[in-house]
Amino acid sequence: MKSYFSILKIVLHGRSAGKILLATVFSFTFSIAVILCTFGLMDGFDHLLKSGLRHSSGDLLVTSKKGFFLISENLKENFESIRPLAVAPVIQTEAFALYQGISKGVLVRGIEPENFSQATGLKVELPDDGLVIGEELAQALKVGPGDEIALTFGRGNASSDSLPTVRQFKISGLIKHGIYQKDLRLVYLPRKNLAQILDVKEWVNLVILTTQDPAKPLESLEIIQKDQQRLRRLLEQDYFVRPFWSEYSFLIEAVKVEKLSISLILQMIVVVAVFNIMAFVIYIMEKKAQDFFFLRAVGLSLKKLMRFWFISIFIVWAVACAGAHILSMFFNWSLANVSFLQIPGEIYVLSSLQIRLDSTAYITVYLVSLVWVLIAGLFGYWRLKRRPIVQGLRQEFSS
Amino acid sequence: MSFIRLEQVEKSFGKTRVLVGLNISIEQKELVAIRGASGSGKSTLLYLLGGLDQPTSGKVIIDKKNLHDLGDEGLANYRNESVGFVFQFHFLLPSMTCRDNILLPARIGGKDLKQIEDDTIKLSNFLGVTHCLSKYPFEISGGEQQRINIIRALSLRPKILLCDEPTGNLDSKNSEKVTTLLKNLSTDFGATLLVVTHDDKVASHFPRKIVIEDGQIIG
Repeated sequence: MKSYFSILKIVLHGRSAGKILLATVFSFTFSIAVILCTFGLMDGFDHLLKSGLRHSSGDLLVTSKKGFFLISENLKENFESIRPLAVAPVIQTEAFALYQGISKGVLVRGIEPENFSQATGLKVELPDDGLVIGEELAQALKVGPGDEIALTFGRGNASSDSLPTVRQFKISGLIKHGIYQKDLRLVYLPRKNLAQILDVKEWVNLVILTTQDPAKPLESLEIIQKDQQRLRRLLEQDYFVRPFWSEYSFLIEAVKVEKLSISLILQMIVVVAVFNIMAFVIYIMEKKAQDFFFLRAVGLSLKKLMRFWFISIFIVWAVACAGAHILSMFFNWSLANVSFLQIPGEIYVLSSLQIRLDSTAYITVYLVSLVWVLIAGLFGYWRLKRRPIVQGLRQEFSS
Repeated sequence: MSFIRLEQVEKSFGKTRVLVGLNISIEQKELVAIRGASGSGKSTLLYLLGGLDQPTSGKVIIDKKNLHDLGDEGLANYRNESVGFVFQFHFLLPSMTCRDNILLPARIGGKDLKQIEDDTIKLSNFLGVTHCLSKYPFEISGGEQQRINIIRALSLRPKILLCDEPTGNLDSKNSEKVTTLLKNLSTDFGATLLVVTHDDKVASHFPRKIVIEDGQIIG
């Protein structure tokens, strides 16, 4: 180790060498951080979108081709075939929310809070006479808990022989799904109250089914796809069975494609950083050639030289990875806390973004950067190795 | 068998033949001057003996070992443990103090520094450069730098001391001093001394002289 530090001292001697090394490490750190943050944002987007959708739609959504339907024993048996963890019958209808001259088109859901929470993992505090609205809707209407808003309903699908119904409701709470559109459009009422308004009794027009624990992140969509196919085969004639992501499947697919293409593009950033490392290597080779050849002359073997070289490269890589990790954490914190980094939800669908990276993503990014940095290291080692000691000594001593 | 043996050694750089069929035997602790004009191949011979280069053909046998068979790691060990180099340009590394420069071969070789440090101090006292040990090379004079260079070459008590024009940068008075010093130290350390020089005066101090011209021994 002493010989390592002796060589390091020689390599870093001089005012510029240390500064250039520092700049090189910084550029490599930033390159890795950019990749981590980009991947993290895309994974975070994907995760937030899916979890937000599950919070509003459970795992599977069953609707009838005829509109409203009764949950018969036969239908319940069909549901049981996929062993659901929770089944939440829902009445869903469109309405207008009105408050002091401002109106918004909303989707009113009549739910039973307990089984809805079980099915979606979203806790809804909904008293018997209460009304819960999305946070973005509350902001748009400039209302909060305790305020009264009016909802204007059509008579619903069960009967269409009447004029719209207008009802006043006191807002009992706000809710956040994490998806901007949902938070802007969804309004929750106790199911029996909405059934009474629409005069649909025990009829519903949506059933939310959950087969996977909503509290845990979803590992794969395949299990749900299989459940969907099984249930679809059973209910094919009269019902639609859709997975929770069907509404935003284009976005999930786009993120997947984007991730692949961006990962390729981002390699360019690493390549630029690797060029910086190579430039540093060339600089050191040019500046310290005399020293290196002298060290070889007094007994530094190629093996020891290689060990020194690759330990140094490894340290640069490790420092850059650690730095990149810290930078990505800082960026994640900034996303949540710095106002100008807050994203417009109406454009990005989600109310907020966060970086989310699993260990596979970290390992992939770090390993790819290690491969690049090793290539740079090999280049430096090759430059050192290719010139015989005597040739090096003669050239360097004569200059 | 002689301590150093060169058998039919040839060295070419491309089409240029620098050494042609050299046969040399040198005994242990012998003091030898290798004399020749510039470009005669005397430095190349020194590099072959020092394991810094390999002959195009022939054998360089040191202490019964053919250097060609040692491989890079073996040659590096040989250069570190068995050979001390004194170059015309002393080449002390500016990033280190003179003490660290002297200890560099020991550090590279992973040797125990305690004994070497003690020897360094003794030799520094003898050569009058103790005050230079904690200084950087650029803080001391050219003569002091050359003496530090010699201490470094002898720091691992090499079996062979190879000097390439060690007096090339010195005036005649200092040349004589350094030559005498190298001879005396080699004798004290029991090292075989080979000094490459183009200077007849320097060569005249040595009991044996090898004269090289156009890559061949002529005397």
